Amino acid sequence: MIRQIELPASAAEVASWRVGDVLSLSGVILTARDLAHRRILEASLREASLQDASLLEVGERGIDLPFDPTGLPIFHCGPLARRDGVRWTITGLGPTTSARMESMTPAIMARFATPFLIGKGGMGPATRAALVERGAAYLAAVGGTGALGARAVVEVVSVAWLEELGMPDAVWVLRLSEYGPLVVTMDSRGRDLHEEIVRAAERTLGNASR
Amino acid sequence: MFRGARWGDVLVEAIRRATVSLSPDIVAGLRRALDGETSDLARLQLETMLENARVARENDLPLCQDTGTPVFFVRAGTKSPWLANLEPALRDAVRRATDSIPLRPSAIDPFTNRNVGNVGRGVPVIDWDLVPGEEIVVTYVAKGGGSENASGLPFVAPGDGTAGILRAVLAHVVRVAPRACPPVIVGVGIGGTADLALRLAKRALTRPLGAHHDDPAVAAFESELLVAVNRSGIGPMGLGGACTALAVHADFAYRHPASLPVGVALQCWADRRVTVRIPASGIAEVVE
Repeated sequence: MIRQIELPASAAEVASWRVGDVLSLSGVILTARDLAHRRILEASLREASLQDASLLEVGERGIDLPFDPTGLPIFHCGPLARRDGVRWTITGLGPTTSARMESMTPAIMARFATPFLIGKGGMGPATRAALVERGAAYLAAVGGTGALGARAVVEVVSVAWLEELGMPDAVWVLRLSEYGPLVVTMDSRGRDLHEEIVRAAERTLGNASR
Repeated sequence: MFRGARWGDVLVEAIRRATVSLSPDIVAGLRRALDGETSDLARLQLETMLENARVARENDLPLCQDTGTPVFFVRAGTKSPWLANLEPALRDAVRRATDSIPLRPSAIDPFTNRNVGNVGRGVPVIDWDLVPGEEIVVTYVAKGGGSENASGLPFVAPGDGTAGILRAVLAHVVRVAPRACPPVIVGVGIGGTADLALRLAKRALTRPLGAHHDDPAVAAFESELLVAVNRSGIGPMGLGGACTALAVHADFAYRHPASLPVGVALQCWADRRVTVRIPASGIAEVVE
């Protein structure tokens, strides 16, 4: 049973998602992976230190990003795109391994009010805590299903940092229609399916070797 | 089967096919895995993978947005008239495939982080194996980053024997498989030196799915490890289930008295590979 979700989803809606729920998303998300996370975080830190110093000129106030991640779900994804003239067509969209973004995620979620994350493989304890604190969630997409994902993209809203970071590491803001299936694997109550499966595997194999 | 007079063109066509079309042995493997799953989430993952394979093939779309690091496994006949041209031809084929399919630019300078496309220093990766004869056989593999990050090289104490090898590989695979897009194919290279063990593991991945090693002892090891990996319950995409690995492919080399390196290489379920045969005539063909 797949639940259709229209974005933006309310805070109460996201907080109600439970591990094992299967969702399909329609609306705007942004992609960000390794280098984009680092760059977003660097910009945030610059902002913070400028404010601390209270020496900033008016023109330097605020965060200097070519897109506004505020309130947008973050998809751990490096898409494949084709340019036809000035128009971009996404020809591959699917998750990359989320764990690499673990150290940078809680700070980014706090600064940009990120409602939820999409990726694969799950995250670590710091993100798990951030999800509980924020009433947020983590959705697991099916890895390797880039063709299905491409067909769910209805519009490339914008792309930033394409020249500097390259196609996979750039930040793509995309409008999706019925993108899924996505499984809620980490929820706002602190349940983490990935962790549960790995713990169970270790118990099974530990018993077998005894 | 696709034949062409110009073998460079055949290589580009082969890369396109591997990128958009999951080979029949993997499709069959995923279907068998689906038959063995009772969990709804596991079934949903496998059904989505099979649906994606259909959509990709019918619409000429890459299976995965990560079109991978291009890797060529070359068995090169030393008497082939094409030997000297092969490396530039492989690089050229990747360049052309990148533009025409297109492939995702995925070759990045580790110091500057500049993304240069798919051809650069060391990329495509070419694994050479010189053999007698006039024929060249090239197997192309698109190696996804998620599964490559799951590689490992445990060193087992030689006194621990085959049981020690099994324990070491199992411990490694269970730790990394959830991030490697399971159900995976597990390549294991036993013995030799560190680099050789990993090379044997990588080469073993290119065998048809589930094709056992000729040596019965190695084949038995493959079967035993497959059962053990699947007993872990990690399942498709690590969300729990009966199928964590579709197959285990192992190979070995003789070891030093002090040394028992075990190379572990994983390939994601979207195992994109294709083989091209280039005879002396230059009339190449894609071997399905």
